[in-house]
Amino acid sequence: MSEPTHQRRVEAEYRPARLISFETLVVAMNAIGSVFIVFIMAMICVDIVARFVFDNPISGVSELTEIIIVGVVFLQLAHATRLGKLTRSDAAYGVLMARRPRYAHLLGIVYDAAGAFLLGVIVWGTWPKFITAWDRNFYIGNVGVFTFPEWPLWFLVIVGSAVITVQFILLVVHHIRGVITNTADAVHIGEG
Amino acid sequence: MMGFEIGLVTVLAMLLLIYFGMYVPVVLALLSFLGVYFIRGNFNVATDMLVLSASKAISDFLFGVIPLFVLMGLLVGASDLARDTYQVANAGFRRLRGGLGIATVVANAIFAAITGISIASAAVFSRVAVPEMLAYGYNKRFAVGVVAGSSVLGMLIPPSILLIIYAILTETSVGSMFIAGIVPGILLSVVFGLGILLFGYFWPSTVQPLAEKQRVDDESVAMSLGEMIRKLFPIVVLIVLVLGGIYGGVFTPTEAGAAGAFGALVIALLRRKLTWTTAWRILVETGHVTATILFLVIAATMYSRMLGLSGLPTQLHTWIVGLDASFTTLIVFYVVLMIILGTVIDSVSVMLITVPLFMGVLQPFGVDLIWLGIVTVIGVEIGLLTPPMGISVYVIKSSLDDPRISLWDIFAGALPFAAAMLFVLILIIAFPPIVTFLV
Repeated sequence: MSEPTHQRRVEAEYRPARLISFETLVVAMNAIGSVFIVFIMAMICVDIVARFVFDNPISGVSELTEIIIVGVVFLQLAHATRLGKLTRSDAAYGVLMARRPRYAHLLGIVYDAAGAFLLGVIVWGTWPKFITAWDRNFYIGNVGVFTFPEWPLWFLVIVGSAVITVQFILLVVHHIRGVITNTADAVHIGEG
Repeated sequence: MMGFEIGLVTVLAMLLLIYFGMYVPVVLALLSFLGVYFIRGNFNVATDMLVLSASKAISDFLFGVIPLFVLMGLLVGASDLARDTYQVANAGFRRLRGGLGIATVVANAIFAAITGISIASAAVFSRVAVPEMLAYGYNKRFAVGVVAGSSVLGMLIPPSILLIIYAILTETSVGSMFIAGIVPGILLSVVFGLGILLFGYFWPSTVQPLAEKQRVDDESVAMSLGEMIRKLFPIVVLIVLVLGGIYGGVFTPTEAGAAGAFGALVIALLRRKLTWTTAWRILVETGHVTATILFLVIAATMYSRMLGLSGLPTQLHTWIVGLDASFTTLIVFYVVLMIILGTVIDSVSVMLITVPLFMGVLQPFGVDLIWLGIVTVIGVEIGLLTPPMGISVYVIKSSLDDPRISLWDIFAGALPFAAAMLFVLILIIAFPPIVTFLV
């Protein structure tokens, strides 16, 4: 960590051994999200074939996609956050990180704490909606055609946001270490 | 009045924080949250807005389109379709000066019709086209510049993630945006191609300094018509499936994305390009792109609701009308702002920040939203080719992994292409029917 030549990798550095289980969780959620994408593709393709070949569309494809797409986002976001893929402008931050790592880490603490706060508020605000949807059996879709319970939607948001909150807190810890050791991170370039 | 001031302070603070490297979606969502809280003076209202944006805003069948087109783009990127297209284009343009450059543009334009993301084209073509051009003595800046410049076509020629997000933001139809992108996309390709020819004949040093010594051997790249058809066949099938499906009214955009991704999967499997590792890498990448883009969309929903509450766009409109500014002045201002923002942040973020703000200002002028969308996409992408920030440029740099080519070479090489885009953008602003006559 102390050698400047080892500035290229971020991930492996801030991962204390005892948190391996958290990483496993993040990777597993990412895997489920990936499977969801394949599922959406397969489901819609089957619907297309059913509609054109058998003249018999499957009901519920649209409603299920509506829920699964939220799952894709909230299950994969923690992993993307962990790998530093969240969209950001690296121009000023990257220069600061290269020249004055300590100050960049101080900013990093603020940024990741802001992320933790935001996702924390989402967890806190979504909880009552989940309880209501669960208790009163809210559903999406139209009665007689296709209905699906609404609670999985809120559940995915809560689980995802909670894990992302923890991930942001871990990043704050990482930046606090960075301030102490004054070691630079490699700055990632996000997609999009 | 208070709402207006809070809105203004929030927007300025956003730009500042984004510039200094805070995560764009976190900035947008958090400041919108605070903005709503201060405007309404109620924490619960702000939380409710945040929560509903986080879940219900993206809980829509239409949003399925994003992972599906990203998946399709990455799958075709992995199955050597770009290489085949490039070889066919090479065979076609081999006799022209700067022919490899023109071939890169044309191959990119064709490839753009089956991918929705520029990074897919930028990554693939920097590995396929750049080494080829360097081998034939092309100027290295030109070689990387033409790849960076033509990767923009991926965002303009449908299907395109950027057009989809614009359509979602402005509640226009994805299908209409896709139709609107075709003519400007072809026009831009033609301008790129003519520009290369012009430079190739009049300033050969900028394109291929060693043109006389190292000509492309006609026979080695020549191809029979049958072979060309065979190589292009899978792409044509995908184009017919996706774009034909949408324009023919057979598929919704989401269904076209699913069919296209499935088609791309079949092609990748038939060509044996898909190992378990590659497949997994593609899926994870699709997930990351989707999650980060949709997180931005969530944040932008929050932001446009905050703007609506603050009344800032309406106030800005009143103020601008008071200034007696013409519509053209406004559009020029809008484009300049986007280009400046595009130099520091990615295209989706630029669009999500500027479009909600300007829609309220421009709509009372009776602006055609579809035309505005094309202006927006080209404006944003010009910013992406200019330093210090340019996703395509970084992707090219990392896929090339060649120490002889610096980031600066790529930015310098892309500059003439940014200029060509500006030219096309001015044409489109001066003659809106270029975009609107098909829609």
